[in-house]
Amino acid sequence: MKNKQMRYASWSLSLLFALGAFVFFAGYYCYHLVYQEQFQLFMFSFDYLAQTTHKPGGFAEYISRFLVQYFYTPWLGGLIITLLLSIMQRQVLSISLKVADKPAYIPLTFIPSLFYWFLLCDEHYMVAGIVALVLVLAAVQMYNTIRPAVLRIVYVLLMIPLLYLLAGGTCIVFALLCVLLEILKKEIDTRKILFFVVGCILLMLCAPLVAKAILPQYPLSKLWVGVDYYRLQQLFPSTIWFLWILIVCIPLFFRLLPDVQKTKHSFIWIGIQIVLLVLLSGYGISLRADWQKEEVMAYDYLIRKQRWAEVVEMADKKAPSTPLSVAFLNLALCKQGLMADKMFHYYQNGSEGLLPTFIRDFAMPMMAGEIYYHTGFVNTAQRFAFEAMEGIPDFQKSGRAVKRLAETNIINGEYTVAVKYLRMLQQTVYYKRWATQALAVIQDENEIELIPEWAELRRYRTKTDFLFSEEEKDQMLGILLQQDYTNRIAYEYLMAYCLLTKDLSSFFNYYPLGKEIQYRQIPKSYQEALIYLWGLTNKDLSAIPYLIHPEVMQRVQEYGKIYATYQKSEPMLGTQFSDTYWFYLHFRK
Amino acid sequence: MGKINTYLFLLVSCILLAGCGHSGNVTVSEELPPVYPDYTNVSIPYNIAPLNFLLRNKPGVVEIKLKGKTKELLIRDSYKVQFAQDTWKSLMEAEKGNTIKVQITAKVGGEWIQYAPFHWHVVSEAIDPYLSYRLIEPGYEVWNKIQLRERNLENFNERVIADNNLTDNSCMNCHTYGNQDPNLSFFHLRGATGGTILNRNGQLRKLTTKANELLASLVYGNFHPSGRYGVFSSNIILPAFHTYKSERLEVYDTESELYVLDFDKNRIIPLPEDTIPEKPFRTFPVFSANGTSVYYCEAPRVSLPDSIHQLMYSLHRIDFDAASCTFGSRVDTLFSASEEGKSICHLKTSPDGKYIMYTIADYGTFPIWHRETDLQMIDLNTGEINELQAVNATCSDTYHSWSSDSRWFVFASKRDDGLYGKPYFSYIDEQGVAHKPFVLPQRDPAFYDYTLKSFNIPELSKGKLPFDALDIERMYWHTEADTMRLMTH
Repeated sequence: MKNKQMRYASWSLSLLFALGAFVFFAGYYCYHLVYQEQFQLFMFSFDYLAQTTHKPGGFAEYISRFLVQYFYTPWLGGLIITLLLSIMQRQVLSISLKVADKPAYIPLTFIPSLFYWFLLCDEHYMVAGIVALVLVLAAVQMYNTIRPAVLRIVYVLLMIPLLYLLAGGTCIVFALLCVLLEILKKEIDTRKILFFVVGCILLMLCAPLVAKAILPQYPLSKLWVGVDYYRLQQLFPSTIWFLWILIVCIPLFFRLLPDVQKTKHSFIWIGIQIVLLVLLSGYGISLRADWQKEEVMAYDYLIRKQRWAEVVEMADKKAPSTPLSVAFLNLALCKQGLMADKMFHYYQNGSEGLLPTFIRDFAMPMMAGEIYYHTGFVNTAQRFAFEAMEGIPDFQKSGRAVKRLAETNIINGEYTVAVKYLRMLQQTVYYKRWATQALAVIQDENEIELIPEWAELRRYRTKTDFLFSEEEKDQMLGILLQQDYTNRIAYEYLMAYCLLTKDLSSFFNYYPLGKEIQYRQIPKSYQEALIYLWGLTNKDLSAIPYLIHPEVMQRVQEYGKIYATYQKSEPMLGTQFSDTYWFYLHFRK
Repeated sequence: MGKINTYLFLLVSCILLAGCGHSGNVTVSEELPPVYPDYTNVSIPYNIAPLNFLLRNKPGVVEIKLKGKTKELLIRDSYKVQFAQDTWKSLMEAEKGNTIKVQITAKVGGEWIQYAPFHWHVVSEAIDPYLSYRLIEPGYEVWNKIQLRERNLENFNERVIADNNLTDNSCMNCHTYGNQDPNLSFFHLRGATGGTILNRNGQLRKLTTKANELLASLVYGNFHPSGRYGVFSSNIILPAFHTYKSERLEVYDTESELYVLDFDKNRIIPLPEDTIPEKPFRTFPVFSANGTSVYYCEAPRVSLPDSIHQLMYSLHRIDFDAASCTFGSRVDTLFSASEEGKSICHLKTSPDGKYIMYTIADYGTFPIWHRETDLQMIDLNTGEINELQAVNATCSDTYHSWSSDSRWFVFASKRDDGLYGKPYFSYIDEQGVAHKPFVLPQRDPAFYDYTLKSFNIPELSKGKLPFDALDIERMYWHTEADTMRLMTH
C-alpha cells in the first residue's frame, strides 16, 4: 500500500473492527465465551501436549485450548477473540494487496473475519478453526516473501504436509491460495504450473490417507478435516467450506475488480463498502446471535460463581422464561432466603423449573448439577458432572466438571480419587490455586469442617442409602429432609415442588415438617396455599388456624371475587395477582 | 606404570563415589520406600515389561540396587524410575526362578535415605504375553469414547483393536477369548449395523439374532473348549443411583436367561423349560474346562429395585453334551447364596479344570460398583473355597481372567482410588496359593495418576489378535450379519 492515506484508513478500519468485536464479545456476548471454557481442561503437561498434538490439526487445537482457558475471565475471552479476528483480517489484507495493490477494496478483507464472528455466535463453533486459519494464512504470507519461483514451489510442497500436521484439512486454503497466487504471478510456464497443481492435489489427498494408516482409530472423514471447527463431531457444517472459499476468493476479487484508486471517487467506493459491511454485520449478528441462550449462560455463570444476589437482580430486570434459567433463579432465591416468599413473583415453569430432570447431554447436566449440589444431593451432583463430562462431543475433559468431582468426593470422604482430580487441576491456570488449597485442606478432617459449604453439605447429606428416583423428586427431597429437619433448602424445595406440581394435599402434609426451621412468619407463598386450602372447606377465612398476614387475607378475598365473577378472569387477575400462588394454581401449567 | 594405574583407579573411584554423593551420609529407614505403583514384595513373571515406578515423595535423585542370585544392577534415576527394556529383560532372564532384592536410596530434601529393601520373586512360568481390555470412563449411563485395546505385556506396545469412533459411536462390550486363544474371541458391537463380532480361526463374522426372538441382546458369554459353541446370557439391564456417600451405581437385571449358540449351524439353543412358575434370573454362564458342564449364576426373583439388597445369586452347574448340544436334567448347587448370605457373579473356570474363580458381593449382580466385592475361587475337586486374602483389597476386585497355564490370573481392581479399575496380575503357585498382585506396568509410572479410564474385563491371551480397528470398522459398516435362529424345545 503505497498511499499513506490509505494505510491510515486501513489501520483505522481494523481498529474500528477490533473495537466492535471487543465490545460485542466482551460486553454483550461474553457468556457464550465463558460457556466454551467449561468444556475443556487445558493442562500444562507433556502428556496433555502429546495427547492433543498427535493427530492432524492437533497443534491448532492445542493453541486454541490454551487460549480458550482464559475465557474463564469474560473480558479476556472477548479480547482473545478480537485479536484472532483482527489478525485474520490483516492477513487477508496483506495477501490480497500482494495480488493487486488496490486499497480501495480494503473493506472486502473484513468479510472472512466477520463471517467467523457470526459463526462464533453459535456456541458449538470452536476457536480452533480460526487458529488453524491464522496458521495457514501466516504460511501464505511467508510464501509471498520468497522471490525465486522454484523455491516458492518447493516451499509449498514441503509446507502442505507440515501444515496438515499443524492445522489439519485447513491447509487446503494454503494450497489453493498458493496455486492461485502462483498462477497470477505468471512467472513459471503452464506445464510447470500443471505439475505444481498436481503435486499439491496429490499431497492433499495423500496426507489424510497416510494419517489414517498411522492412526487407524480415527475415521477418515475426521482426518480430512483434522481440526474441530464444530463441537458436534458428526457434523462438518457447509459454512466452513464457504468460509474457506471466501478466503481464497478475496485476493482474486482484488485482481479482478477494476482499479478505482486512480479515480476521484475511491473514498466513496470505500464508504459504500463500509456501509454495506455495517449492514451485513447487523444482519449477520441479528440472524446468528442467540440472546436467549446468552441469558441462560449468564445465569449459569452467576450460579457457578455463587453470585446469588446478581441472579435475582438479573431476574428483576427481565424475568427468566426457560426452565433452566427459572431453576437457577429459584436456587438463587432459596440461597438468599427468598424462595418461599417470592418465587411466585416470577414466572414459574413447573417442577422442571425447580429440579431439572437428567437428559443425556453435555451442557444441561453440567448446569443443572449446580442445583443438585446446592440442595444437598451430592451424589446426584457428582453423577451430573461425570455424565456431562462424558457427554462432551469432542471427547475433551472439563475443568468445571473435574472441580465438581473433586468437591463431591471430598464431601463424601473419598480423598484418594479427589486427589487424582486435584492433581489434574493443579496443572491449569484458573483451577490451580483452588486445587492446591483443597489438597492442603484434605489432609485434615477438622480443616474440611471449617469450610462452610462443605461442612453444611456434609451435615445435610444422607446418612442412609436410598436409590435416587427422577420420577419421585418429592420423595427424594423428603428423605433428604428427614436426615436433618433444619435443612431449610431441602424443606423449601420440597414445599416448592408440591406447590409447583399443584399437589396441595402433600403440601399440607409436609408443611408441619418446617417447624424446626423457625420462620419468623409463615412465608408468603405458604400463606397463600394454606388460605386457599382452608377456603376450599371453610366459609369463614378468618377462622384459619395459621397466622395469615392481613394483606394476604385481603388479597385472597379480592382474588376470589374476580375469579368467581368473571368467566375469563385471567387477564384481569394477571394484572393484579400474577405474583400469587393462586394465579399460578389456576392459570399456569 | 603400575603406580599410574593405581592412581588412575583411585581417581576414577573418587569421581564415582563423589557422583554417588551419599557415602557415609545415609539415614537408614526401616520403612518401605513410597513407591507407586505398589511393586513391593510381589511375584512377577520373567517375561513382564519393566516395572517402572515413582517415589511419591519426589526425591531429587534415586539410586536403585537390584541384587539377584546371578546379577546385580545399580541404577540412578529421577523420582520416576524407568528401566531400559534390554537391561530389564536380561535381568529377568538371568534371575528366572530367583528373588531380586530391591534396595532404594533416595535424596529427599538434601538428605540421603536408605529405605527398607523389598523383593521381586521372578516366577519362571511365563504369563500369556497379550492382554485385551476395554478402556472406558467409569460413568453411569453416558458413554463417549470406548476402545478395545491389546497390550503386549512383554513391553509397552499397545494397539487399538476396536474404537467406537469408527462405528457410529456405538457402545461395545468387552472382548472375551476362548481358551486364551487369539484366534477364538468375541465381543458385542451395538448400534444399527452391529452384532456379535466372532473371531474364529482368524476369520471375522458378525452375528445377529432375529428381532424379539431372545429376551434381549446377548451380554455375558464364554466359549466351549471346542470353539464351536458359546454360552451366553441375555439380560435386560437397568441402572439405579445410590445416594449414600461411598455408594455410586447399582446395575441389575429385570430379566435374564441363558442360551447356547452353535456357531457352525447358526442356531441358538435355550436352557430346558423351567418347572417352577416364577422363572429365576440366570446369568454369567461359562463352560467347564472340558466342556461337559455349564456353570452359571441363578437368583430367585425379587421386586426390583426395592428389594435389591435381597437379590443374591447362587452358583449352579448343569451337564452339557457337546455332541448332541443338549443339557442334562440335573442342576447342582456349588454355592448357595441363601446359606452363605452372599451373591456370586463373573464365573471363570481355570483352563486346567481345577478351579472356578468368581466375584462375591453382599448382594446384586453387577458388583464392580460394590466396594465389598472380592475374588474367591472354589476347588472343583474338594469344594473348598479359597478366599484369596493376599489378592483382595478394600475396593472392588473383579473382572478376572486366567492365563492359559492356570498359573496366573488378571483382574480389575479399584484399590487405588475406589473408582478407576486397573489390571492387576497375581500368581497362583502349585499349592494353589495366590500371591500379592501387581498392577500392569506402564512406560510412564505416573500414567495411572492422569488417566481417567477404567480397564474393563482385562483378558489374557497366548498371542496377538488377527484383527484391528480397521477390520472392525469394515465389519460394522460393510459386512452382512449372519442371523442366528432360536430353536424351540
